[in-house]
Amino acid sequence: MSLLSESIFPGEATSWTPERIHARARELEPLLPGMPLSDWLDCLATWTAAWSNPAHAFRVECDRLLSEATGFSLPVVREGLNRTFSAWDRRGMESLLQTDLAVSAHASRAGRDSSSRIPVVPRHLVQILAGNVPPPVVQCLMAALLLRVPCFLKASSRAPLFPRLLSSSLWTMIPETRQSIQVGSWSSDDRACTAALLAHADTVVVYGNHATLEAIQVQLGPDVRFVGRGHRVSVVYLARETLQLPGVIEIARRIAFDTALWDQAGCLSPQVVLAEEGGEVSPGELAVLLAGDSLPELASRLPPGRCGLEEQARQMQRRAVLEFGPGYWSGPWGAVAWVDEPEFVGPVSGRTLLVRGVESAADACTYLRPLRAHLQAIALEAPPERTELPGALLNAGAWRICPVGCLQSPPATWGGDGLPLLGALVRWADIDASTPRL
Amino acid sequence: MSDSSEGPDGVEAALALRARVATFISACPIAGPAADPARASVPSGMIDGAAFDAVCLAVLSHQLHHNAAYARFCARRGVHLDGLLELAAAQPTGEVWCVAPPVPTDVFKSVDLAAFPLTHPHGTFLTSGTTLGQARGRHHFLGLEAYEAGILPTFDAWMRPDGRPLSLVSLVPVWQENPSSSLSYMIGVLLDRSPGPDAAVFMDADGLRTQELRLHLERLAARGQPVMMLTTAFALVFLLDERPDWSIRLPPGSRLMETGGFKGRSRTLTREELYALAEERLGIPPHFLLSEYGMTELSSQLYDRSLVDFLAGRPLSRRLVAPPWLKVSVVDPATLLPLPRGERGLVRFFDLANVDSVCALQTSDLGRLHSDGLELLGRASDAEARGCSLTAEELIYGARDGQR
Repeated sequence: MSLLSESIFPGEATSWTPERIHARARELEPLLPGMPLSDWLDCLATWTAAWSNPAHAFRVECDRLLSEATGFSLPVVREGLNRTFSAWDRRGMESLLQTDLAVSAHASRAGRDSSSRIPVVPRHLVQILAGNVPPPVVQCLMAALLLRVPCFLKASSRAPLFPRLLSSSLWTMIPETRQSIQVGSWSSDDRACTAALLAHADTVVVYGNHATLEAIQVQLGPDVRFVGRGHRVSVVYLARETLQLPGVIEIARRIAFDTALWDQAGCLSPQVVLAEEGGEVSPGELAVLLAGDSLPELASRLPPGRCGLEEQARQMQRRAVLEFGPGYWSGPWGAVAWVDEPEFVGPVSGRTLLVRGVESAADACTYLRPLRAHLQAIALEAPPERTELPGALLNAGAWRICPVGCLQSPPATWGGDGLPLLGALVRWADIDASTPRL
Repeated sequence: MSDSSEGPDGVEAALALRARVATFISACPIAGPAADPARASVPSGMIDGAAFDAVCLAVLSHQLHHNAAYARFCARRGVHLDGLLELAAAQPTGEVWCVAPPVPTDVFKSVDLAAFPLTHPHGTFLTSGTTLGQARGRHHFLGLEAYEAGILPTFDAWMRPDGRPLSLVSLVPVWQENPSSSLSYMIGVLLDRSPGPDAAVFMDADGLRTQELRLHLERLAARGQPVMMLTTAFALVFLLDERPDWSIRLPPGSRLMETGGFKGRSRTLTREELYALAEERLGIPPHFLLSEYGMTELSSQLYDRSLVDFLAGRPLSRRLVAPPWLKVSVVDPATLLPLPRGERGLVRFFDLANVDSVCALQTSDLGRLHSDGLELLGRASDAEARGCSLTAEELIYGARDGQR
């Protein structure tokens, strides 16, 4: 625990008040503006490397604390964090900067090059998290760190631990970040504190449901950039050519992995498998395979976690409805339901996977119509000759197509929701050719 | 999804069975002022266990025979038509009703759980959706004999235990204007059979007639005629919020039965805040502010025992009590096994009066079972909001063109 400060614990002497928020927000400064970008990336890579190492002392402790606080099983936490941080090595960070900002790691400072168009980073970034799975938290923090902007990150009062763990380890390993990065949490009912938080921001990122996004956006002035990241879900699509033995067994195992990680609670967690009819293995047989083999087998390695009484009640109600469908199997590992509704009815979570037969991608898009505003990614398994599928599936409203089994391992360059992670936060200033160089 | 079996024998069997259940319910003594919280079960009167078991067996057998969807649901849990008695004997208490697998209430939104062919003329109560267009639960019935048999005795035992003549004043639409509402039906039975002097209804398709209601209450108050207000929580708040300057001292003995809670769009009050408001603005003391718990999927109701406790000199606990034919338990959401008294879990019912559908229901309501009744703790937050208050809200907002 030597790398973690005392500030990670609940009840830390940080009862946030509007006055305290104002004071802290005024103190935040740009992060190491004079340090060459390459050196800065080396610093960050050292920090992420520590988090990528599950054997590191503080990582072991953090995994345990996070498992206890969130209810995710320890193996799921461990695997999930490994996957998350594997994307944030130096190469990932360089790729993101290049992709989003056309910035080379060899530039002396982000945005300062000989181009006549330069990215203007936020003066004061506020990011408001939902009580969600860890990966978006890492994304938020990395965005602030890579842009080297002052950032006040409000964690959900329901899930404050992981942001605190991250910031605490950051302050310990890179003390200068204490001048630029602040994590705090208070109830969303505390409007005075939230108003104080927003008062200093010129850029605000909010995670949450529609009501939350709306409630924050309405408080912002017209000159404040707002980036809303609403709740989303993902799906799997299997071309009929892939539904044959023995290959489908491996596909089912990869689907099970994507489903099991974070207990299906993330935006990249698949809720339904859309399997084309006409393959050697029918959608119903695929459902039997997932329920009889893939999900139970994986549960022994990545056990399901525990959830609160309210979530258990919700799952119980939703699963009962599925039980009246064409096929339903359940166990301690979760549930699989073979469904035949014309449109997607609703996610269940808790490793409850729907399987539905479709005739084509167009048929799948019809089924996914209720999800159009909430679809994040589609994991696709198809032979190379089915070149029409990615484009056809994007019509469903997804923002990412990836191989089955890779849903939960997006690259650092992926921002989510169709928005670039860094690019959504910067503005671009044009300097006319006749203007003297900066 | 419609999945009830065909065949006229289901209809004839249901008719005879409903009559049998109605007779049984009518004969059940309902606990009143003498209800003793020290009784082992939820205090709800004495009941002949063997007779209850016999009727339960008949109803369950009927439902397993004629409700194919429920029969499949039960089969997955090892409960079959043949073997019910053996299963019952294996229960800790040996009671038949414990055998029935409970159906989660959300299922009523997508599955027609009817123990009769839906091609036969029938009625349907609908749940309220939280937003217009949301799927609504459907509770089908061939007849309401069993339903009606329990309404008045239970209401009188817990809402009018003192036997006082009261004027019923309803803020719930009449059933003729709202035929899919089980609350409207229940109150309609009360108004029809025991209205009291100058009973009236002040909610219709145009909304809540607040001006007329205030005048009516003032006339009754001037005459010293005690009132029994029957209202959803939302409608009551709407009445009082519309004229913050208006208040009245209703005559002694006046009381209020509220139900339904707050379902999303109206301003939300705790029960304590609601009762404080009612006491302040209507002059009704706390022991006459009473709640009723009902569900579209249930045929029977639970009532606040506070008035009975007050009359017996006991402190007000605000626990809910059920009639003898409505069994209440609280279960662990993870295992769905009954919890010991005092532990927090999900509320489950077995309602004998649900002859035409399913008797055993699993809700998403949180509660604790005590020796003197059920303590409701609210809804599991992820469960969809539901209930009658939203019906009133939609009517009122619809009448005012969505003005808030």
